[in-house]
Amino acid sequence: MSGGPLAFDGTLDRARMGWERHARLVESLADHDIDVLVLLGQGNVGYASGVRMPGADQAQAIHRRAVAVVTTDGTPPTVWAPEAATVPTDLGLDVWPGLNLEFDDDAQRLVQSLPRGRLAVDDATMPLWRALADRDPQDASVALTAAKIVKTPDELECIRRAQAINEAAIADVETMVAPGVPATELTGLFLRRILELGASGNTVDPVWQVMPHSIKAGPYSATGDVVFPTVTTPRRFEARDVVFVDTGMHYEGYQSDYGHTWVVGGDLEEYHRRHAQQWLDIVAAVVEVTKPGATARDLTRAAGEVYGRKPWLAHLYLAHGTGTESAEMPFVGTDLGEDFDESIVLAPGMVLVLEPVVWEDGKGGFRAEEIVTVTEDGCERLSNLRFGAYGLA
Amino acid sequence: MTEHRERIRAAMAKAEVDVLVLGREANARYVSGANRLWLAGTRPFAPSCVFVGATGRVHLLSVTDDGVPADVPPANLYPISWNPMNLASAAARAAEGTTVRRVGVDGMSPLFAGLLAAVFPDAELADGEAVLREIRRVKTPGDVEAIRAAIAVAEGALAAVVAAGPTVGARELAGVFEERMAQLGTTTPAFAPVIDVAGDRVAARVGVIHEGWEGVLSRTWPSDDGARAASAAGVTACRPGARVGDVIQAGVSVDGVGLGHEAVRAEDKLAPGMVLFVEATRDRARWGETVLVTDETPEILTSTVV
Repeated sequence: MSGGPLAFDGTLDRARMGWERHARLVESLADHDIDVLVLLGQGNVGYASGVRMPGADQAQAIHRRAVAVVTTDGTPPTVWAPEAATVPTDLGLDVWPGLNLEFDDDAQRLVQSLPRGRLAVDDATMPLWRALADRDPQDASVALTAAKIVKTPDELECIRRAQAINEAAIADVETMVAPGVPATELTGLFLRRILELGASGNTVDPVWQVMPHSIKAGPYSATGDVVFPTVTTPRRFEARDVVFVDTGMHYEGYQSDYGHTWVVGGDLEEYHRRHAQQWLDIVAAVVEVTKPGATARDLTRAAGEVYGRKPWLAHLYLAHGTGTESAEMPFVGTDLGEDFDESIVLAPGMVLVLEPVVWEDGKGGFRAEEIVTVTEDGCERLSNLRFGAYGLA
Repeated sequence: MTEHRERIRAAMAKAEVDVLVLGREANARYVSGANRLWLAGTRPFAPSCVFVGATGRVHLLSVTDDGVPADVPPANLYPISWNPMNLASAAARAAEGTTVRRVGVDGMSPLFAGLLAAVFPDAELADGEAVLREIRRVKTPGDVEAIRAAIAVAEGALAAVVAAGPTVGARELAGVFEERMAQLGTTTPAFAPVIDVAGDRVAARVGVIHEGWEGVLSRTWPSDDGARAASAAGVTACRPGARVGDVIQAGVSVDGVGLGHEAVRAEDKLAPGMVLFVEATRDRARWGETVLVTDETPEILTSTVV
């Protein structure tokens, strides 16, 4: 028997979460002079309306998606929801049957239903793009980000729960990591356990990447930096493989993001422990400066100072936000550059997934992910990483 | 892959599309053959695969050649960037030296409409999804073999669900399916398993994505309340020249099957090489077969399992 879904201590009020998100979004639309917001991205639809579709491969998710229309006139969102959608009943939504925006007639039906005013859209199929041509659609991303970047207490509880399920599944998976075990067996146990524990499905093919000792010994790299992530294959683990783990799944539409590094067989060298300690030191330095008013640049500076150079991968970041998207604003340390980082000012309720990477070319490295939320005077953890295998606290 | 690209080039010439700038993973996979990291759900449009009709060249968003076929050389790979202008520029670089008047895209946002207009100043946007939908719909023999392999994984994993029996509960049976799927070497479901347990009866629709291709079927056991017979009527209607709507008239739902789910409409005419998922539901029972349309009798690609 599976033991059933994971139980949680914290409180979650789904109706309150829905009202508060809608209020934040409407306020942001007003701030950005947008009267009508059309949403196709399922993370955005879920944020605006609470309507969620079951997890699916991208092709099915595109063809069977819910669509939400948000206005600033004080009325609840209108949603076009396929049969399989989960639709909240306590938000006063105006619910219509699902649309197939792959084709012109449904795209025109949607556009004809839209109120007048300045319109923004997050994404469009080509039939919808054509149908919107007369409306001069604006990009919704800035207004969406302004609302979504600060989480309500209920949203934080969803992320906390998603992460708790991910970590509980991983605790079971970790016990089966041994020489000779195919990586796909880990995936199997992980997928089963997250469903049993109450997740609505995984959002990324679980990554259990065996790292090379050096960049040169690994696959071709378009950036010259460490290649990560790569796609899991049935390859069997060998003793002393260093495995970068990255798993994601959702709960109530909110993402979790688990990252850690395992040494297969548990026979650790001094440098394995040193890499883990360096990673902990970087995270401690970043956590120390993570508080309201700090900029993303303050975080990258703290990380760089303790490590001596940028401790993250060239094509990724030191940290990213998470919520209804696995990686969303605020981004910290991307190729958008230092001026962009300087412009990101932290505020209470923001969430950061800290994912520095320690790399010693010739000996490999260490990567893990810690999730924090900014509080009134600092930050607190939403994740609960364990370092017992490294003999570290 | 070569065959896919030749078919696309012909369709691009017909639609007068010079470059395809693709964001959808299934389209990118059809064009490139690359196996990139699987992500569930929708993603906003961004250029992640570029195909140039004049040269047949493929450029791909990927930080590595791991999972990328050898005929897409490392020089044609561009890494992820958080500056969307870099992605638009990568699309323009792929088309360097060719005349670009029409850019076929499979989605759009106001942001990328502006950026693509900047890097392709003389071009208009065209519906690249419509071009690829028509091409992808009719399978090559290789495509059909790939779908058969995907179905074999789905059936193998469903057999574990049948063996587990109704007493463990629907959520647990979904877990059994996905665990067995991964043990069989395929780590990506086509959708969250749709499983209903009523007493000792289980109804399940399950699917996997195996090397990009979908394998899907639905079964109800031990009794199916006539769903199987209803599904058979739909299968029989899958003849070349019939319309999807004619099949639906037989009392079933119809979906396209290929590199994941494919969209079909009632007015679409069936042709040999199309692969469809034909499913009947009766009360809480369901039965669905994946069917290959041939010149003669339709071939059911799925087997009984239960």
